[in-house]
Amino acid sequence: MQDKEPFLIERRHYMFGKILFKFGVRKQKTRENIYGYIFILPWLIGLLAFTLGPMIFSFITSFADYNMLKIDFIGIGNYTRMFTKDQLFWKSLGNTAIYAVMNIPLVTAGGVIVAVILNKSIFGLRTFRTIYYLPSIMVGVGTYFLWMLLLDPANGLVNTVLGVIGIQGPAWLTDPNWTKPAIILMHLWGLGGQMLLYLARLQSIPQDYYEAAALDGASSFRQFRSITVPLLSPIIFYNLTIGIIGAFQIFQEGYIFSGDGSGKPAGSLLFYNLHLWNQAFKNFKTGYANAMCWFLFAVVMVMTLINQKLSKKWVYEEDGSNG
Amino acid sequence: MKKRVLAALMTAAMAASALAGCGSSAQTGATESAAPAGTAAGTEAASTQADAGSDGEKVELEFWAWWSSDARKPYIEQMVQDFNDSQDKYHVTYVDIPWGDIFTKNIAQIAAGNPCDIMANSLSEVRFRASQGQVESLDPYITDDVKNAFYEQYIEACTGEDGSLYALPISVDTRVIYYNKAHFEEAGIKAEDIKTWDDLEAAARKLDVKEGDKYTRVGFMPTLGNGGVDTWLINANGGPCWYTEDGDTVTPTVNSEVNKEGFKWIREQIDYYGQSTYNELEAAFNSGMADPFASGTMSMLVQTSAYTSSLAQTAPDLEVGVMLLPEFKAGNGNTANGDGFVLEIPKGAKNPEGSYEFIKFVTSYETQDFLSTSLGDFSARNDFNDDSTFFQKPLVADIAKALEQTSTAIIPNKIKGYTDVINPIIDEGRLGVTSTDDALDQAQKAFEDFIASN
Repeated sequence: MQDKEPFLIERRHYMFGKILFKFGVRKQKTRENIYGYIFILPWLIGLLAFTLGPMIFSFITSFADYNMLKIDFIGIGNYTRMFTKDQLFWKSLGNTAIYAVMNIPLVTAGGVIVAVILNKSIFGLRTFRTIYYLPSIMVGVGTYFLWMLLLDPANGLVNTVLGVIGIQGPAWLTDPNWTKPAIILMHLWGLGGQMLLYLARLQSIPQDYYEAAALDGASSFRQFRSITVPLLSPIIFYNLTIGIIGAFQIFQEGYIFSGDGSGKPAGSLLFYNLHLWNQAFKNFKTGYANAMCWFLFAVVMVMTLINQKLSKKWVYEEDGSNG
Repeated sequence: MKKRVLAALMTAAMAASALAGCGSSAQTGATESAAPAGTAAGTEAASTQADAGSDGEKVELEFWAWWSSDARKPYIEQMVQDFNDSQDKYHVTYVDIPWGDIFTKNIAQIAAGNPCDIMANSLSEVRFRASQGQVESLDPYITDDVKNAFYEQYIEACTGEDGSLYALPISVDTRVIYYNKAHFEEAGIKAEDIKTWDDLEAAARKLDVKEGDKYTRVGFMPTLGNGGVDTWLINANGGPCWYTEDGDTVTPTVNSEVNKEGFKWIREQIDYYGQSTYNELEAAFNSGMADPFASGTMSMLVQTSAYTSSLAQTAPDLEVGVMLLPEFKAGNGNTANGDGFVLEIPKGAKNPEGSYEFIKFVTSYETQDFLSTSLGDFSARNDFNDDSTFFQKPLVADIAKALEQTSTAIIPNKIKGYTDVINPIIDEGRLGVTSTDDALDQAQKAFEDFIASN
């Protein structure tokens, strides 16, 4: 039987074959399956050791008084503490929810509008597309410091521009009422990533649809509402899902803008993950922080499921599966 | 089907063996970290290194800190080099890790049983880290002559609840008011005349410059720079301002009469200039790009002792003087709040004796004099005097007076984390969102709830 095998398989056979043969694996197909698993082994080990392993460990320690060095199991103590004793739990969850509710629709709508504008043939189109996309590749702490300068109440560019049109700008990052809008403004600046996805989809919408609609006398707005939005809806749905997950993970903005990670001014930047981080690495209540992680996981999971359920009502699939 | 099961089993077996490999080393580490210094494991480590020493091979040690700037790193490396040259048993390597990463990395390494040998860390939390089992005790190595060379309050800060010593201070800081000498001269003010908070307020009014409805020069804002509401209330209370400690009992005193009067005064200073002026100045400090004191927009500023070296870089020509925080009321004392940094041996370090040798070297008079003179940091040693090289530098002797009246806030372990709860509420009072009295009352309630639920 082996004589009939092609040369390459013969070579592979030499690589692992002898060992497998000793274990009694005589069939070519079985050996090939094993080769496959061996090839994905690095990824599998990575998943088990660095993702699944820690996840299971964090779940187990969420039921313990754990400070990274010792573990005392306390049952559901961490979970009850979260809802009944932690004075900052609801505040941090509330801050995160307010941010998410304000941020997601604005960034989504902003992305769609910019993409639609940049889909028209206007002068300097390529330059504008590059300019809008550029912030997406400028990520990291440097951007936050740049925005601290832009949002400076006295000399910042944002308030200077507002001053020109007669509006006295707020003290963005030092006034607790304006810190979250400031972060949203910053994120609107970085909507290029979303825009790119919308733009790619817009380019694939056949022009005949618009021409037919125009012949029927549909206005531009009607065309946008009845053609563009439905055809964009799968991408909007994708961005919405990613956006919800991302919004609930907000951390860096609070950590950097508050200077010392405390979420100041007046706790307005104390987001859920920042509170969690403080518990884990400042107060060494790591077991409690792990419980907070799992609660967040549950919240995001429920939100995603709801989103998915609702999507059947408004997401248009061209294959006609819904919509 | 059979084939699939077999393939899956083999893969699982291989993955499991790989994981078991990681697991066993972690377990060994954990066992080592669990062994207290001075026990069999400790002795063994000591004898190993002694052997290594006698063989002429040096024991390698790692020293972790975050000092990476050109202004600091060369001196830290020089200090390490001096230690390496001073003996032939150990060789220390300096590893600088960014401030944002070093503490999480340290605790992760301790948990993995593979920590560095010497770690720089904060003074005010030594006791907390000791209670969490993150640090080796220095008791097996420390001698009275080393211990007695430091001011008592700092040794106390380095002592755990179990009475053991866990660290030695490498530098300490305090808070003073820096003032612009030219502005003072122009307004006819003498720093020595500012004795109380009222004097400070009166001086600020003379220093203010207003053009139209905008202040172009602000005499003084109490909670800018490195001063917080707590700085002033610690000054008014002559020590901890949010609670009193009696044996094992901690009693919140957030809404005490002294605090109410003090906080009201702070808010009045902000109200005088208006919230928008305050916000503008605060944003300028926060962004770190413009320092209103260095640029002459502010005449007085609360800052730490380390500010001297920062000013030397940002405004080398600025003529500045320093004064102690004034007294809340005459005779009240000039208490300032301060902190500092220590060197400690992370739990499970393999050569604690060698680590201690390095810590002893760094905290010796000669090295502290070298560090203070080169970096402008203050030493916690009590044997510096006016003749030392460091004290000859400008402002140093004045700031040293403040160190004598500095309160190092060591939060009792059982109320660790209470500031997370009360600070946002106090902040609302500072920013005028609520009245100062209401903020203090609410914070008092929150603190009481915190104690009840912990």
